[in-house]
Amino acid sequence: MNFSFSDDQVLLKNSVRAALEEHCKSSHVRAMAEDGKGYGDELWGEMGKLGWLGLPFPEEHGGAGLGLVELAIVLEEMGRAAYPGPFFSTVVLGGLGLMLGGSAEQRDKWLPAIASGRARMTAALLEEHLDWDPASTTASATKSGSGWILSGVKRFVPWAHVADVILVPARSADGLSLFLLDPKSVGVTLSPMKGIDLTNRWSEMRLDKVAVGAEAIMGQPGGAASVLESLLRRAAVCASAEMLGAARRCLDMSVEYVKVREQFGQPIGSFQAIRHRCAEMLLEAENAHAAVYYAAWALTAGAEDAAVASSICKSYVNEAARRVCGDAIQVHGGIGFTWEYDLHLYMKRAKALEPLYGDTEYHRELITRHAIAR
Amino acid sequence: MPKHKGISCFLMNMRQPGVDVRPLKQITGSSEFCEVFMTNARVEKSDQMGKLGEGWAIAQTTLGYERGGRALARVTNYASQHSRLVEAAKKMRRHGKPLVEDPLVRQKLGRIWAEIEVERYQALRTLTLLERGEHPGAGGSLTKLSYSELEKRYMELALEILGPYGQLTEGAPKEFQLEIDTAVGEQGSWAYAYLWSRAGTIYAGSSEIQKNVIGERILGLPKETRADRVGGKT
Repeated sequence: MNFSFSDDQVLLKNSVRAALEEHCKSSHVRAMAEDGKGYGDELWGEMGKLGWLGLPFPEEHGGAGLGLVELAIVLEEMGRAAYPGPFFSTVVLGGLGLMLGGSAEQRDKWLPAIASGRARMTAALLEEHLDWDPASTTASATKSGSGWILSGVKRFVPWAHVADVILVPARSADGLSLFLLDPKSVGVTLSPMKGIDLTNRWSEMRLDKVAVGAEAIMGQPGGAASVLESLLRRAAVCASAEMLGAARRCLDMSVEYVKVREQFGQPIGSFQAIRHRCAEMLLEAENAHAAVYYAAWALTAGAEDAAVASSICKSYVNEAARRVCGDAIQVHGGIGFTWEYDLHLYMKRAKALEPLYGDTEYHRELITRHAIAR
Repeated sequence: MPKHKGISCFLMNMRQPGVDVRPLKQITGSSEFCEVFMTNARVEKSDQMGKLGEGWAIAQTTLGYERGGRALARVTNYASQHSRLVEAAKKMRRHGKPLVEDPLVRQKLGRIWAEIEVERYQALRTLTLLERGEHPGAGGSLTKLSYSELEKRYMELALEILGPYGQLTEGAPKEFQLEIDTAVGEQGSWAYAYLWSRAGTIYAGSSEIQKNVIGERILGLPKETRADRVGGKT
């Protein structure tokens, strides 16, 4: 086995970085933070042309047929650039969700639409109690003729306001089920939930007796638990990749800054108090890198430790990113606390992802269950 | 660097008059390092390693391997210790329930298992590097800093879970023993492993030295003004 990037993966990383340095400068990020929609169509179209929007999809659906390692490479660069837009919600939550649980018709309809840039998606995985265990779902699905009636409240649904279709878990008489919902359906109310990370958009989604057709269900009624668990693992690793990128950016900015910022007539990076902190930040970033790419590889390869590796990844990266981004503000001093300086864009991106797709304690409990059964 | 000049490296015959080896007793009670006194001890020209004055580079290379080496073996050791710890936590009880059902203990066991696995992933990355014929270089400092600091956290956790059982050097019931050999091939104990964990962040360059190496050689941070370097410039 080879635990370093292949030549193709290095090429992909370099090309994603170059494209984002050109199209997603911090001026763009800041403009989108003020924008009503929150992302730019021009960059979205560019991402479609570059093949990013269909990266993990099969070639017959207009995709590149690549794995999670390549997807994580793209997402790390997006975290590094604080890319604002529905890439994660569309490609990871929607696209991978369809690949895991969608019918042939559903995949035929939506995957090419996503890959070409025509459709945006998301998934409504959280309810008011913030329990990531899919079994905790309380939204209801009641059979009505050949279709279903959906009711319930979902929170923190990313990019729901621009989504063409949303994956919605709901409980039917058969158990936990998964539906594809058009957010323009009668009875759906979206209201914005504005957080500290302005490059991300969340909505609360209320479903008041929303009627959907028979074709809306994904898989068998009552059969959604394993799809959702698999999707959560992938989302946890993909979110970790973005957090890693954000942390790397914070580290790089810190290292550059402490080389030039002087105090007592010397660059502050020459002081051990600063240098040792930077060394610790690098160690955390390197360990986070190993955690992300091992888990991405394990999930793609179907390794027997893939499930626990994704929990190890998210719990480790949660703490590492918190530490690296926080220490970056500290070594910058006052300027790192200003709105004008870009550091907070990346720190807030990492922070917004920390509680999502399983927080640290949620994943540590899963790790212990695995270790005890070992 | 002037202070690195004039250092040469030799293989020395330890069995000769003038070489006096005095083992140092450590906090573990065992002796894994020694003081060596040389009084007119002899080395032959054929005992010289490398060229005259190249000793510093040879020592640095040796340290590089000492810092980065045997990482996978170490992780295997950590993993089997973790199993022993889980077994012990199943036997002990708190508030009328097995300790392993205590959510706080579960969080700690999960956290340390994640850290051990991350060490394993890193070891696989290092192996890939070595397989391609690359030297870990300053990256060995990251490896060494990572595992040695982890080992201290790990052993503190082990003794937290094991309570006074963890401190026993004699008379430990079988279920609370650590069935792993020590560095010198003796029957290991949690107490020994705990005390030994203090050595890792000191030997082969302390954690503070590793952070200096990482800062200067990987991150390219400016060197600090040190008395020996100031002397070198003038």
